[in-house]
Amino acid sequence: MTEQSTVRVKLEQERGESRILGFVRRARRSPNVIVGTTVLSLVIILVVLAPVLSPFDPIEQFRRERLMGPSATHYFGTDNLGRDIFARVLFGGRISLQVGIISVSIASLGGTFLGLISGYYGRWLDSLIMRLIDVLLSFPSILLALAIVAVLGRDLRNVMLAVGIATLPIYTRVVRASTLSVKEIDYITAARALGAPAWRILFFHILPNVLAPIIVVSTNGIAGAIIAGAALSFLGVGAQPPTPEWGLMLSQGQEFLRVAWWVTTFPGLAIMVTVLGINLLGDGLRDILDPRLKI
Amino acid sequence: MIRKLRFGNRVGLLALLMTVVLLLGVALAPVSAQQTELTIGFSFADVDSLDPGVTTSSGVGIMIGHVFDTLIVQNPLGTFHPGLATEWRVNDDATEYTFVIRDDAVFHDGTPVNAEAVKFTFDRIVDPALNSQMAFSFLGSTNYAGTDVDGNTVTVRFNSPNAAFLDGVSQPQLGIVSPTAVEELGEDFGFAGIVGSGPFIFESFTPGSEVVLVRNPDYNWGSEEVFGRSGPSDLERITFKLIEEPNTRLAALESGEVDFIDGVPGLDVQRLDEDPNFVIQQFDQAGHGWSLMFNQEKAPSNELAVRRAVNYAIDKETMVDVVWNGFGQPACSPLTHVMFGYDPSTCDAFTYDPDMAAAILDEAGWVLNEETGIRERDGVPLVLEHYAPDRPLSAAMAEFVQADLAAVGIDFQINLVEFSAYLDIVRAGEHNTQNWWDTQTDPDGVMRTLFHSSNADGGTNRNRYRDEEMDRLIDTAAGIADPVERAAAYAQIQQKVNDEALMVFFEDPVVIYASVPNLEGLVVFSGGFQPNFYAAHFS
Repeated sequence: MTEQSTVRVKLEQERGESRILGFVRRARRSPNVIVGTTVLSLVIILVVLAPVLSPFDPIEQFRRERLMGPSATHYFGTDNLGRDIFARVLFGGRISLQVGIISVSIASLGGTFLGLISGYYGRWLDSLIMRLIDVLLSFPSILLALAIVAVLGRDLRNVMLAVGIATLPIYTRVVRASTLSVKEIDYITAARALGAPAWRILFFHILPNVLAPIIVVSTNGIAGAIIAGAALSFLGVGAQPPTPEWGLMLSQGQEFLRVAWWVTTFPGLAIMVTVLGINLLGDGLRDILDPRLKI
Repeated sequence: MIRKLRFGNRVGLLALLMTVVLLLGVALAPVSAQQTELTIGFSFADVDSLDPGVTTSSGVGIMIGHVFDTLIVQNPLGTFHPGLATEWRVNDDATEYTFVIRDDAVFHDGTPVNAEAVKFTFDRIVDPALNSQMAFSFLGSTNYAGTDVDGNTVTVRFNSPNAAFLDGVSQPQLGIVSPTAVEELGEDFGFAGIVGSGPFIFESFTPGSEVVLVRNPDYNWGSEEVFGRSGPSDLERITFKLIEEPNTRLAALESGEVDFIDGVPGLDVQRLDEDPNFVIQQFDQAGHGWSLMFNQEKAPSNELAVRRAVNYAIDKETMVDVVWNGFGQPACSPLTHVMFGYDPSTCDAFTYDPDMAAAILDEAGWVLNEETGIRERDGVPLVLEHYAPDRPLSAAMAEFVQADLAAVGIDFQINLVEFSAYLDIVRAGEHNTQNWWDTQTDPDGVMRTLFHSSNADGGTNRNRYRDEEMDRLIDTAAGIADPVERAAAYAQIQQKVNDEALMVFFEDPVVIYASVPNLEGLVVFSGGFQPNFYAAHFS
C-alpha cells in the first residue's frame, strides 16, 4: 500500500516534469510563439531601455525643428511642437504596456475570483454573479470603458481601471466554465470528504487546474487592453497631454496628416507591432495549452 | 440583312442618344443643384443653444444671423444702416436710443414684427431666469434700464451713457425673436426651433452634425446698402455641417462635399491658394484674440507676482509660429490691433524675458526646488491648474505654455476635458487659468465681457476680477461720444489691465476662409469674423 502510493507520487512527478518539458518542446516548434516572443521581447527591451536609447526627452520642445521628417538626428521626425517622435514612441511604449498589464491584472484577478466562487458554490450566488456579468456583457466593452472613464475623469489610472472592469466578464465566464467541470472530478470530492475548507479547495485544488485558459485569455487580453487604452486616449478621455501616449499621439497628429505623415505613422506602427507580437504569442499559447478554447 | 443592319443602326443611335442625354444630365446635375444649395463646413461644432439670447458662442451667432434680423445692420466698414428699424435717434448723453420699427416685416410664424416684439426680446434677455451672458453684455448688462413702446417706436433706456449700443444692437445675439414662438416652444426654443424674421427659416438642428436653414420666400426687408440686394435670397437652402476637426473640414471642401469652410488650417493655406479650384480669403480678426485668463479668486493665480512672471515667461513670437503656423501676430492687449481704441504702447508692457520672470518669482518668495524643478513657498509648490476643452488648438496652446512655464519653475497642469464639463468647472471658478477667445466690434463689449464685475459670477469674466475702479472706467468709456476721448479712456483701461497683469494675450488671429471659386456675394461682418450668406450665389 505505502509502496504503491510512493510509486504513484513518483509517476505523477515525472509526468508533471514531462508536461513542462512537453510544453517547452511544443512551444519551440510553434512559429507563432517564436515570432510572438521575439517581437514582444524586442518591444520590451526597447521600452525598458528607453532612457538609454532615446537621445531626447519625450516632452522637450525643439521649436525650431518642428514638423521635420525622419533624419539622423530625429529618427522618426518631430511633431508640431518640435518634440522627438522616436523618444515619444519609446516612452509611450512604457505607458501602453503598463496599461495592458495593469488592466489585465485587474480583469483577470477580479474575473477569476468571481468565476471560481460562482462556479464552485453555484445556486443563487452563481445566478447573481452571472446576471451581473450578463449586464456588463450587454455593453460593448469600449463603450462601457468610455462611460466609466467619463464618470471617473480623464486620467490614465482611470483608463486602466475602466478597461479592467470592461473586460472582466470574459475571465469570469471562462473560469466559471472550467470550475464547473473541474469540481466534479473525484479528487475534489476526496478533498471535500477529507474536510478541506472551501478556500483551500478553491485556491489549491481548482485554481491550478483552470490556469491554462486564464493564461491564454490574459495574453490576448493584454493586446486588447493596449488597443482599448490607446483608443480611449485617442477619443480624449485617456492620457492628458503632453503625455507621450500612443493613442494621444495619433489623435494629435491627425491635424498634420497631410504635411507630416510621420507624426501619426510611427505611433500607429508601434501599436500594430506590439499588439501583433502579443497576439501571435497568445495564439501560440492557446494552441499548446488549450486547443479547445476558442476566443 | 439590310433591314437587320438598319435596325441595329437604329438601336445604336438610340443607345448613343441615351448616353449623350445621360452624360449631359450627369454633367449638368451638380451645377444646377449647386446654384441654390449652399453647404458650409463649419468649425464651431459646440452648439450650446441656437437661442440668440442664450448662446455664448460667437460661432452660433454666425448661423443664427441668417434667421434673425437686427434693428440696425453694421456694414463691414463699421457704419450703420437700417434693418428692422427704418430710423433711429440717440440722445445727447447716449442714455436713450429710439428706433422706428418698420411695419411690413413678419416673423416666420406669421407674427408681425412690431415694437412689442422688440421690447419682449430685450426684456427677456435681462430676465435672470434666462441666464443670458453674451446678449446681456451687448445690451449693456446691468446698465439696461428698460424699453418703452410708443406705437411703432421703441426707446431703449440706460442708467448711464452707453456709446456702444449701436454696435451691440447690430449683433445677431440681439436679433429680434418671435414672442409667440418663444412662448409656444418654452424650454425648447433654441433647440427644437428658433423663429425670427431673417432671410432664412430654421429647418433642423442635429447636435454634433448639422444646422439646416431654408429660404424665407417672403423676405422683403434686407438692407440693400449692406448686401447690394434685397428680397428673398438666391439660395434655397444653407446647410452648416458641424465639422470641428480642421483636416476633416478641409477634406470635405476638397472632395466637394461642402462649398465653403472656415478656420482653414494654416499649413494648407499656401497649397489651396495655388489651386485654381479654391479661393482663400483672409481677415485680421476684430475683438479679442487668443489669451489666458487668471482666476483672481484662487491661489496662486490671485497673486500679481505670479501673473507677471507668467507674462514674461511666454515666448509669444515663437508661439505664433508653432501654434498658429505663423498666421496672426503676437498680442499685447485685450483688443486686437485692428480695433478702435487699441493702444500700441501695450506691447511694451511685457517682453519675452524668462530671467525677469525668475527674478519676480524669487522676490515673491517662490524658491526653486532643485529636485523637482518646481518653485515652492512654505512647502507649497507653484502649480497652476489649467482647464480647457479637448480640442487640438487648446492642447497645442497648453503644451506650449507648459514648456515655457516649466523653464521658470511653474508647474502648469493641463486638464483637457469634455466641453460641457469644462464649462461647469470654469463657471464654478475651480480653475487657475483658462483660455479666452472672442470677437466683437466695439471695445466696450470686450472689456465688459472680460473685466466688468457684473460678469464675474460664473459669467464671461472668468478672471473673476472685481474692481470698482475698473467697473467705473468701463462704464465711463462706454458713454463717451467723442472718438479721441473714448480711445484715451480705453488706453487707460488697457494700461490698468497690464499693470495688474490680469491676463496673458497670446495672439491676434487672422480669420481664414476657403471656398469654391464660383461662390460670390459673400459679405463678412464683424471685422472679418461673421460671414453672411444672404446675398451669396453661385455664378
